Amino acid sequence: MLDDVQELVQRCLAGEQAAMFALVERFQGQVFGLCFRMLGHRQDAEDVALEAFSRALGSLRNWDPQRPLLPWLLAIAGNRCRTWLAGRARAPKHCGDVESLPGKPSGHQAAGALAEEVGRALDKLREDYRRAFLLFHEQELSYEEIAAALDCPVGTAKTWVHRARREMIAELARRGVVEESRHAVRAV
Amino acid sequence: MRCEQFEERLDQLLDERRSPCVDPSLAAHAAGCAGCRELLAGCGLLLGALPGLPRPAPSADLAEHVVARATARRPLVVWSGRRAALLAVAALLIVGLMPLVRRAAPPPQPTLPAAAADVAAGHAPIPLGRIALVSLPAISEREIKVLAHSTGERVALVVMHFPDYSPADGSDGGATRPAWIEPVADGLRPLAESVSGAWHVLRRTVPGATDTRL
Repeated sequence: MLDDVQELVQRCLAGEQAAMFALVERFQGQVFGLCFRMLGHRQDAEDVALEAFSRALGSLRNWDPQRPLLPWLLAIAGNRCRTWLAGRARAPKHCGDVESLPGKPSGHQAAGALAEEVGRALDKLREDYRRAFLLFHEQELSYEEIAAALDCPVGTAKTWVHRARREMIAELARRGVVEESRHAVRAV
Repeated sequence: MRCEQFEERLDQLLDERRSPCVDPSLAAHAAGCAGCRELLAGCGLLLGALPGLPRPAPSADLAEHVVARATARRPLVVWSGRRAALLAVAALLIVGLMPLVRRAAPPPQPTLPAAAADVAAGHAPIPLGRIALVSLPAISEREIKVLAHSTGERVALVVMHFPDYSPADGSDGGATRPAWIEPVADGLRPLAESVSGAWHVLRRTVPGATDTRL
């Protein structure tokens, strides 16, 4: 697998367009998935994924062949997302972004509604917590890979994932999605 | 088990991507602690819901756009430190040696006087500073080419060769002169005729002057 990727990268460096195409097709699901989850908007995710891949192809020489390519790509994509989000934060916010209240508890059993609640809780996370959480639980990277992608110590990456979980659960509890909300989740 | 231990153990299992159900002590503690029970239930809910989150696929032409952008961009040249240092040294050498090379080049030698002196050996000295020249023995066109090293020298020798040329007296030196010059100095005839024409036009503007050419 790693050898395949290395060969693909070498061909990309030689300027072979078919190899570039193959490389993007191979990893676009993960890169676009992270962008979509981070940005919550399909077109934005598409734009950022395009930018991330373009940057990655332009700096493939900087990739360490001893390490897997995916975390490196996701690191670039994550950084582009962060830049995008920073720009979005500076832009005027949309009106009418009213938070919908949860319906009856039985409604939360529906998978779609639950996914929506989880998505909302995800959006409320701090950006670095969200990235760490997604890289661990969705992209299934190891903590070492996450630490490399986020340019932080492994312990910090772990802490961010743990805190992300706690905060999301607390948010779900606050909205009544999690039963037994009498007792607040301990702050971290 | 205390709540801190419960949380630590829960995080440990989740970090190992294992289900909390594998450790019965967690369920036992949660049964008696509402907060930990909520945490445990929340973890199950959250991680169970993650796969159900919408995962839209990127558009079919994403790869195409990426490749188009990547190939349209000028290729990035990555200079290694060694390569860049060598290039800098080479550039400095070139810049530093350029004045030396210029200085080392021999200054242009006025070859005409020596050549003309040879041609005119035994005759009066050649006043090269002026065009009015003394009469020289006839020399062939071939000799002119051998003796003169440049177009200017050839012209001078041709002029020397024709004693009727005497611009110092105000005449135009004869209409045939450019034609004589041309065989040994290509391209000078049109130039000479242009200059001559301009000179005559200028002369016509002087009151009392006569234009012998018209």
